[in-house]
Order: sequence, then C-alpha cells, then structure tokens
Amino acid sequence: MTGILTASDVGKSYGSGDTRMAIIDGLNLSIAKGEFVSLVGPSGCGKTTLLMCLSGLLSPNLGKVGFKGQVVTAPPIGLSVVFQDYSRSLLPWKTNLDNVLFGMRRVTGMDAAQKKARALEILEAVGLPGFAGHYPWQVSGGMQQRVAIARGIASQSELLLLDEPLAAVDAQTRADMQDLLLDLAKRFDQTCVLVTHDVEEAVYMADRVLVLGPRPTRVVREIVVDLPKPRDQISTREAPAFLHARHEVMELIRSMRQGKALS
Amino acid sequence: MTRQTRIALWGLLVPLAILALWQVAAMLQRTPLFPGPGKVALAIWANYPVILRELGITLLRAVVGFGLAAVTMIPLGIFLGRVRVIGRVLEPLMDMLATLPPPAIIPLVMLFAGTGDGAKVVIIAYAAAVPLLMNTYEASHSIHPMLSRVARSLHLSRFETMRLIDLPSSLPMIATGARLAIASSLLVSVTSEMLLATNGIGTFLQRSQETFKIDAGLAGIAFISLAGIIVNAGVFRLEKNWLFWHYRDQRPAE
Amino acid sequence: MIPGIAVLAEKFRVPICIALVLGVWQIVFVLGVVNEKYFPSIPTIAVAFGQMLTDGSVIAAWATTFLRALIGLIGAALLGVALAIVSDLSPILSRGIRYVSDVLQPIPPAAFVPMAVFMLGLGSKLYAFVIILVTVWPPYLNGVAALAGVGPVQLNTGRMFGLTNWGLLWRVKLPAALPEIFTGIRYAATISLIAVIVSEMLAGRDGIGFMIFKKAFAMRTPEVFGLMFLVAINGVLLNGLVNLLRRGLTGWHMRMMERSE
Ligand SMILES: Nc1ncnc2c1ncn2[C@@H]1O[C@H](COP(=O)(O)OP(=O)(O)O)[C@@H](O)[C@H]1O
Ligand SMILES: [Mg+2]
Repeated sequence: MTGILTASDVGKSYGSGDTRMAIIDGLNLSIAKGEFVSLVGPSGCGKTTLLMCLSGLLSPNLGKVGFKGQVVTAPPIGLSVVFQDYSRSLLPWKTNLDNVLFGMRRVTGMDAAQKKARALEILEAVGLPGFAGHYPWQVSGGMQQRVAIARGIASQSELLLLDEPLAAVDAQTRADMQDLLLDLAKRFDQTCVLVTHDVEEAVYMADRVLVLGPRPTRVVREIVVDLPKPRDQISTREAPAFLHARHEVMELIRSMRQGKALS
Repeated sequence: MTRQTRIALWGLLVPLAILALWQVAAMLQRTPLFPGPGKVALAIWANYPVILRELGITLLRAVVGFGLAAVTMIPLGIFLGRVRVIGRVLEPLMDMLATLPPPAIIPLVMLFAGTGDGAKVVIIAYAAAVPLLMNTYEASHSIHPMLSRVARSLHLSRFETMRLIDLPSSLPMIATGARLAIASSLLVSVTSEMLLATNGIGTFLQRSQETFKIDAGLAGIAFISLAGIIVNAGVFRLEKNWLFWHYRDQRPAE
Repeated sequence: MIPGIAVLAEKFRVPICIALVLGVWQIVFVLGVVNEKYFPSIPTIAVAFGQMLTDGSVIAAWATTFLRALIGLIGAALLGVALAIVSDLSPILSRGIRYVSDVLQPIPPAAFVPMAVFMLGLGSKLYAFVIILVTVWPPYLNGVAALAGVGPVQLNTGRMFGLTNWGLLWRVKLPAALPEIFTGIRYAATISLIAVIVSEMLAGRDGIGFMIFKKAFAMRTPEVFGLMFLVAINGVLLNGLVNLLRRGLTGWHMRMMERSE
C-alpha cells in the first residue's frame, strides 16, 4: 500500500486475561497525500483508540502503521493530533501564542522571530487575531479548540489527525468551524483525518468516508464523496451526491445497530 | 467607610481585649515571671538590635536548609512521579518518613554531626524535605495523562517533559508543600537552637529564660511572629504572580 | 516481561521498602563508613528495642507522650470548631479571631515552652497550653472555610423545612463542613505530636521526647533509634484514631468520594 498514512492489519486490545477487551481487529486503511478523509463510527467503537495507534501514541498489538513509508513506533515529525479533550491538552500557564510556539519547539530553519511571526499568522488564520496574549482558560471552548488546531498546524505538520473536534460546539459555530477546517487544510497543505460520529459532518467535509464497524472495529465500507470543492453549507448539503452518500452511510450504520440488537 | 473596613476596625477589639486582659492579669500577679504587654513593649524597644541579629542568624539557617531541600526534593518528586514504578514502590518509604515528627531527629543528628551549623542545616533540610517531596510526588504522580500525550506528540524528551510540563503543572501543589516546609523549617530551626545552644533566636529565648528575662523572651517571640507574617505574605504574593493561571479568576473573554 | 516485574514489585512494595532500608543500613554498617557507636547494626537496634518494650519506664513514657498528644488534640479540635462557629455567627468576631491567629500561627511550639514554664510548671498545664496554642489553627481555619462554603441550595432546603438559624447550623452547616474540618484535624494531629516531643525535650522531665535526648547525651545510639521508632508508632496510632472517628462521623462523604472516582 502507498499513501502518506497506512495501517495494515492493525489490532489493538486493552487489558489482559479475563479483562482483555479487543478494540480494533484487522483494520486496514491508506490515506493519500492531500486527502481529507472522515472516519465515522458509533461512540465507544474505538475511534480514539484508532487515532492514538495511527499517531504512534499507542502501539498496536498487531499489524503496522506507516507514515511516509516509515513504520510508526513513536509520534513522527510531520504528524499532529488534535485531541478530543482539547481543553486539557493546552497548557494553562502559557498564553495562546506560547501554546502555539510550544508546538514549534522542534521546527527547524526558523529563528525565534520567524517562529513568532508564523505562530501569529496561524492564530489569525484560525480566527483568533487579538487573542494571542490571552490564556486558554480566558477564552471559550470553541476558541480553545482553534488554539489546539493552530498548535497542530504550527508544528510543521503535513498530516492532521482530528478527534471529534466539533462534538462539543453549538450548531452554528459548528458549521463555521467545518468551513474553517476545510479552508485551513487547503491553505496550509494539510492531509486530514477527521474522526466524528456525525454522519452529515463526515460526508460534508470529506473526499472519502471510511465507516467503522462495531467493536472490535475495522473499516467496513469506503465511500468516495464526489462533490466539488469548496463545499457550501447550503448547496453541498442539497446536492444529490451528498444525499446519496449520506443515505448509504446511515443505512449501513442502522443495519449494524440492528445486527447488534439481534445478536 | 465601607462595611469591610468597619468590620476590620471593630475586629481589632478582639486582640485589644486579649491584650487588656493579659495586662490586668499581669498587674495582679506582680512578678517579673509574668510580664504584661506593657513590659513586653518596653523589652522590644530595649532588645530589638540583639533580637534582629539573632533572628537573622536563625532565618539564614532556615533558608539554607529549605533551599537544600527544595533543590533536591522537587526534582526527586517529579522524577518519582514520572517514573511511575519506582515512585509507587517507594510510597511506603515516603509515608514512613512522614510519620516521624522532624524534631525527633534532632538528638540523632546531634550524635552524628555535633551541634554546629552543619548539623542544624541538616535537621532543617530534613524537616523541609518531607512535605516538599510528598507534595511534589503527589502532584507529578497525578498529572492528567493527556499532558503526557501532548508531550509525546510534540516530541519532547523525557527531561524536557519533566521540566516543561510536569514541573509547571505540579507547581500549585509544590507551593502547598513549600508553605508547610517553611513552617517546618522555622520550627526546627528555632527548636534546634534551643536544644543545641550556640546562637540564633532560639538560643536567645533560652538565655532569656535562664536569666528570668521573660519580657525579653516574649519580645523575641513577637519578632518571630512578625517574621512569619512577612514570609507568609511574601509567599502569598509569589503564588499570586506565578500561579495566577491555576487560580484563574478571570472569566472567558467571549 | 518488564510490565510483569513492575506489577509484582508494586504488589510487594511494603516488604521491598523494608528490605531496602534494612539492606542499605546493614551494608553501610558492614562497610564501616560510619563509626559503630553512632551507627549500630540492625540486630543491635532490634535487641535494644526489645529490651525497651520490657522496660516499664519506657512504656510509661510512651503512654504519657501519647496521652498528652491525644488530649491536646481533642482540646484543640473542640476549641478550633468552637472558634469557627463563633466566626460564622459574627463577622466582627471572625475578623478579630483571624488577627489573633495570624499573629500566633507562625510561632513554633518550642518558643512558648521556656516562657510558660514559670507560670505553668512542668506538668500537664504546660502541655495543654503549648499544644492547644499551636494545634488549634488548622481545625479552626478549615472550619471557617467549610462553614462559609456551604451552598445556598442546602441552606434554602433547610429553611424550607423550617429550621431556625441554630437548627441550620447544627443540622445542615456543621455536617456539611465536617469532612473539611477533619482534614484540618488530621493535620493538627501531626502538629500535636511535634509539639509534645519538642516540649518534652525542652521541659526535660519526662516523656519520650525527654528520653530520646537523655539517651543521645549518654551516646546510647541503639536506644535512640528504638525511641524514634516509638515516636513514629505514636504518629500512626494518633492518625488511626482520627481516621476511625472520621469514618464514623463523615462516612457518607468518604463513600461519596469513592463513588465519584
Ligand atoms: N485506556 C483504556 N483502558 C481500557 N479500556 C479503554 C481505554 N481507553 C478506552 N477504553 C475502552 O475502549 C473502548 C473504545 O474507546 P474509544 O477509543 O475512546 O472509543 P470512541 O472514541 O469511539 O468513543 C471503550 O469501550 C472504552 O471504554
Ligand atoms: Mg473518542
């Protein structure tokens, strides 16, 4: 398999002996450079666990994860994670700007002034001009989320792994953030893997949707979303291709749920 | 006059009433062994140069002992909290140390190291070490796992993680430990001077008793209290400046 | 493999710690780095400790010290809670008591002893005075904070059921504040033990504190270690008693905390 990020026959379980619980089993995927891929699956199916394995923060029990042709054993440079628990992932004793700069510690070929200029540029791009000097706990949850995204991009990232970044924001902010994310991915050349349990969001954002099965999870279906970019909150959501993809994913998820209910 | 200042002023009646009662009791007793606040005030005036000098010696030793404990125990606590297995295994040992009241080691250290400055500094360092180590370990041990993940995904080395993530996020509890350690250092500093008399405010108190100058002794105590109040206020200021992010009084900007 | 060892090590951590201490001790002894006079071997200490346990005077000193700490602690806890209640009733008295605590709290127990000896003698009055004076502050400070922190919902619930101000204090505020007060009492127990040991060392008549000092001057190192061990046991006992009482009075709170974890 080729691609910037690959997973082959990945298996992961927690615990051992009687309390052993298989979370991922025989999962394969490949993400091409520049793609925007959504991973959808029900809560608790192992999405966060999968993302941890893909990022090198957890090592899978079985199989291999590869990033740019190298086997991943620890978080590689060029890959960054925006955690589901984003507010905890920011350092409260640093300002938003310093949090972003903290993500740039390993960035080479820039002096301090250039780093700062770059960090400010990214903060502005995520819609936070004027909040660089604030502390994360002085701004709202949605803004903290953007700081976390800015930190991810700033660390010379090529691949962003986003774990349910919009699960906790209200509907309007959510739509804005979706468009912002798409815009950022293009502007900063990011390949993106977005984990979500919201089917509409998965389809709206992605070039390709991977549907995850119930635990122990693996990719059960791949749906290519053939919609033009840039996406538009109103017209994209009315396009036949959007409705078609949405229908397919929802039906699949419903059948999985019924299957579970029967078994 | 606001309600707050009114309360603050009326409140002064409580210490004033205590002082008045004390004065009356002393006047009834008529013995230099039970001087009243008036006598103590005169003694303060008569003895303050000596008291300040001796107190300075005491505080200097306390600072050196506390400093020694801080530079060794804070890193050790971070390390034990981070390298989980070692920390967990050694927990009972730390608990054992915590059950022993620090002054109980004074006679022992005296046996090993005599009664000089070195011995006293060792005792103070031990007294300060226990609360510093316990609190630093507890803090670093219970850091949210999310922060370790952040550290790893930002490619920090182990040492950098301890310095840039574990240390700052442990600071609030380290501050609690430091406050206990400061009280403890002052306590054993004075006690050891009283027992192993050479110099310092403790020795001054002991001499005052031996020469029946109780008023001078109480004057010395007044200065100890003052020093304690000043140190506490200083610590409070430092905490406000360094740990504002922990106490976060500001509301979100949105 | 490595995780297996780690789990095993954690399971047996108490014996490991004891073995570690004894082992290092014995190695230092055998190497003879420190003069044997100051650094007796483990068996020597054990023998000395055993002999002390059969020696009536040591047991008596032990009991004396423990009782002093216990009685002082009880007095300090009751006084501390009383002061906290008074502070809760009157803002002016609250401020006034706070002035007094700010002034007295930084003073170490040792400083009081020589000044009080002439007026109070070397007996129980001295110990009660010194211990209570330094031990009362944690229960008092925690009590004030906890009583002030009882939420309006709880208070209004009480009022709705027709409780008077006194009823509110006894039935709502004090029970709600007890867990935090006990945190203060636990800290007070530590201070109480320190205060007794220090006072005994300075008063120089009886108790374990005095005995340690006497043995140290006589260069009876093994006995010094044995006595230190007894002091530590006092700490464990006192803590155990406080915890027992806490479990009885605030068991609901402890179970609630366990559940929320
Ligand atoms: N560290 C862990 N140890 C044991 N079980 C875990 C751990 N983390 C998550 N789990 C369990 O694994 C399952 C999948 O969790 P997660 O990957 O967070 O799912 P999702 O992100 O899809 O909601 C859940 O049932 C969760 O309880
Ligand atoms: Mg998740």
